[in-house]
Amino acid sequence: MATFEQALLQLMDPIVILIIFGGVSAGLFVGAMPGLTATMALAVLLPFTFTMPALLGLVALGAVYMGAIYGGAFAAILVNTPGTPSSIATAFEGYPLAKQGRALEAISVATVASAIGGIAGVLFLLFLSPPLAKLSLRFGPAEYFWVAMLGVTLIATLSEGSLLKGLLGGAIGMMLGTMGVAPIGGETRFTFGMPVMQGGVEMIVALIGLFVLPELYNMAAQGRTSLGAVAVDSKAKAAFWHTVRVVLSKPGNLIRSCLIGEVVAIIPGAGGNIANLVAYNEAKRASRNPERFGTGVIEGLVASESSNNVTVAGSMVPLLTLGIPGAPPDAVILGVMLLHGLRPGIELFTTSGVLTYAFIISMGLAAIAMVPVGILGGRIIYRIIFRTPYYFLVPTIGLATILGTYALRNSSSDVLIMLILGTAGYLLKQVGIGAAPIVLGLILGTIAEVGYVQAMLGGAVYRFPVIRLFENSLSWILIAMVAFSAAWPLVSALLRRRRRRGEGAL
Amino acid sequence: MIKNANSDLIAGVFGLLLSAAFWFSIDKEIGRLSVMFPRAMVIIMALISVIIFLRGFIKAERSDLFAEGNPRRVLVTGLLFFGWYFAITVLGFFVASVLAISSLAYYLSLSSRRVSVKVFSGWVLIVFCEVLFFYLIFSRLLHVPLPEGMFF
Repeated sequence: MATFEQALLQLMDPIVILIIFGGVSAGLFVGAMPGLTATMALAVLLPFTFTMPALLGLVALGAVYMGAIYGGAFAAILVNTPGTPSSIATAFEGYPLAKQGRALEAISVATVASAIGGIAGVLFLLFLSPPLAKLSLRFGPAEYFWVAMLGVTLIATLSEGSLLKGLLGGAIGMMLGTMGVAPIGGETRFTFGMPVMQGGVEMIVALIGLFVLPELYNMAAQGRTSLGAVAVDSKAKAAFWHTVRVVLSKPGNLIRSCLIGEVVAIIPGAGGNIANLVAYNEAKRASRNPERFGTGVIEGLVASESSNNVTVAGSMVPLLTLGIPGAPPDAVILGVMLLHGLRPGIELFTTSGVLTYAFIISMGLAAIAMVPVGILGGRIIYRIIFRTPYYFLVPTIGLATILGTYALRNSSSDVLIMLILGTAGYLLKQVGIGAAPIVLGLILGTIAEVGYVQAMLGGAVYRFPVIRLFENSLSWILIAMVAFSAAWPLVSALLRRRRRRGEGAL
Repeated sequence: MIKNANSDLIAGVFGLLLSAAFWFSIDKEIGRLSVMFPRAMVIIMALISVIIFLRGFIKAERSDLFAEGNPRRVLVTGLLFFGWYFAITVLGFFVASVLAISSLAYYLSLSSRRVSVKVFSGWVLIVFCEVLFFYLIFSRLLHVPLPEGMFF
């Protein structure tokens, strides 16, 4: 307990508080820009932390990480463009809310949900690190394959109309993910004779193209932004305490989303990008009115934003206990830790306990700092977006997307790929194939391929290597979840029909 | 606008063409490990496309394509975006972006207002400052080597 108290005392320093607020603000700006990711923000900050004491460096990185994941919600709500892959599902409900004139309310809800998610992640990290780390070690190739298959069942939720077209979108995304160098085998595939395709299709490039460009084309076609003509509601609904009451009014949704965020976070390689979609899917499934999702439902927004911020501290569980980065930004944090002579493992919680606990608690403080920073920053960004004429907004967002795409790998080819995918996304949307299943396929394709091929290699000793996919008890739990998730839309439709028939009989 | 189009048929044909493109570009000399997963995925994509294609004949989903707004503005905006990309490779990021943003703003504004030379000159100045702001952040603060061209 003395260690914990000492850690708290270290955080009382005004410089620490200043760094937390500065880090959250910088992270929010980066996250709100499509294409600029949390990983990039941390990588840019990295050299500045070299000269800082270990605690200040780690606090700055944690605050920027927390702010960047949250900042993605702004672009998602105001321009229907997830600022980071962690806020894809935020756009599904946030943007319809903005179109109803409830953008400020949506931003406030996202802020409060993100702060609660961030704090929940820190609590999980503080109290559940050892058992969760053990669970993460049990995930082998077969389990990763089934996790990806579980993700595929989300397509039923993400399909805007026809399920079959959603599945086709998912398959297109998976095929896009196979372009370039094979993750196992190392050979180059599907470059169509173009050397620039050897690097493959970067997921964030596809995300920017598929989500941003169709929206810009829509604005150009209509001669206005979708938000330009809406009547804005009073600010009362965006008031802090009102929002807190709204978010806490569905505790089941909040708790479920935080748990999902934590479980996804501890699986190395899966982060906020998967957590927000899974949590959204489960919120829709648990809702009494799932058909209303996609029209501006607060529960969906809360599920997405709380789950993605849980993953910030949540992904530190395998990092701090086993040295396995749960998500790419964690790799940067691991680098800083090693630079200061901090080795992941039990020593981190004993010998360097004060520093480690101070770092963990600072992430909780960063989550709290998101509330004032987010509400103030949100209002400023909201005013800018609403007051800018569409003929300036379209090229300005275009500039941000081109810059963001280019800066990912300093590659002009990525910009061209983004433009081609975005234009294709606009055309595909016309025939009912939405962007979300394609991006989901791209995210899951690599996970599924690596899991599947590694499992087949591991099963080479058997006559039928595919047996390797069904060997472990954890695999069977995941298979049951896949079966349940795939069957649920049919079961719920059947139940609804029966309920309606019952009501008709009465 | 294309009214009452059979979107199932279009989506099915597109899926089949894409499957064929991927299938025929699988190199026969490529190793089993590299091709195992993509080959399975191409087959799955082709099967889904066939089902959607057949549904187009049996119980087609019909919709109006490009129903919202003016499709010509989409086409011109798209061309300007691609032109922006090619201009970057020739003129460099800064000059190309000032030109492209000014052109886009001018073209898109025509749907709602008339733009005098004086107003447009003011816009170009605003765009110049905007691009300079992003240019400095990325090139100086984030150390991203932005593409250079004819000028800088």
